[in-house]
Amino acid sequence: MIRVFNQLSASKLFAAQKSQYSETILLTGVVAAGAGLLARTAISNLGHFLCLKITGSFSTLVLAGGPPAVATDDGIDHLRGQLIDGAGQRKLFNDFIPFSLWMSPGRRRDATAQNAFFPVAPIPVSEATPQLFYPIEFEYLFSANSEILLDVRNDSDNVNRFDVAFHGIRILSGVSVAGVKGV
Amino acid sequence: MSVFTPVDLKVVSATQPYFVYNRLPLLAQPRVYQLYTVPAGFNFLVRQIITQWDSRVVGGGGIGTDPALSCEIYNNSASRARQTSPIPFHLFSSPGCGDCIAVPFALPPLGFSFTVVQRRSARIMNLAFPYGDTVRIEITGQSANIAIVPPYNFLDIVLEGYLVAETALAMWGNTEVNSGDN
Repeated sequence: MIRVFNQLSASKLFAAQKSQYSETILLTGVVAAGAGLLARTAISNLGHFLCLKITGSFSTLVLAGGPPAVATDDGIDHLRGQLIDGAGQRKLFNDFIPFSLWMSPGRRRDATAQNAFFPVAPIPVSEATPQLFYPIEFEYLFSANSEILLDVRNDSDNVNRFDVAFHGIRILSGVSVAGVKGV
Repeated sequence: MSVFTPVDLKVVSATQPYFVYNRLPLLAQPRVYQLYTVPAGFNFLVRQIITQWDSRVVGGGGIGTDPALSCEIYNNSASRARQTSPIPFHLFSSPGCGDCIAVPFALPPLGFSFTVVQRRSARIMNLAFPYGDTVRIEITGQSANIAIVPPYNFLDIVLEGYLVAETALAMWGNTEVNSGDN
């Protein structure tokens, strides 16, 4: 743990940074109405990625009002998903888990919601995005050149969007370290 | 651990996070069970329990809100509780039932979802419950007088934890164990 009162050595930190550094990998997707999506993001060939925490947000849109019905934020969790390590298709969830149970900050106000400022009967004005933010502990080593997969289902009659961020440490492989050193 | 602490790949490769989700029916009975059988060759380390249930209650001559459910965590093989009495979920789990309402899906397949509620706090348990065989959690709190409104009487529960490989077993390449020579 780096403490503010610890004496830091720039040379040692730069040396360490040549083999590992902080990184966040983003996984995003747009899920069609009543459909599924296998969203994916690449770890790349830089090296292994040790994930430490995950955060995420998602929209809660449904068709309402009208006719014609418009995209409306009803505050109901319409998305559920299963996280998979693409290397070997190893499942990291036993089942599809509703997004609200494992994402923080969670539901977000969507720009396309027609009830962002005025109600769309019978749905009132959408609530503000939850303020509590706490990254969920998720320590897992994703190997270089693999993918993180998220199998998602949307039970809404409108599209819904999500973003998941994987926060961790990139561990550079020998080849990429050699590239950094220029040898 | 900071980003400048050298990562030991052998250590971090021995575990994997594993989230176990289940939807339990809360019938008109005082006790329901969450059971999860840990796969052979692994131990399961529960780090956090996330729960969610409907806030509407009937009984006691009227309609109430925020039914309190409690849980007891057991070692299944020893049938030994980890606590001396049931602990209310509100004291260690989030979001619980605060203002939460179950709603039918907008499209088939038929099912229910929950309104997304504001979590009150992180409520990270700085504890670990290790399991070698079956996770057994008993949920109490419903009675004949106070019950969650049907058909919304169910509980979503997520066990956030880690599968820890039994690296001493032959299946992980340790041929010195169970090889018949010792």
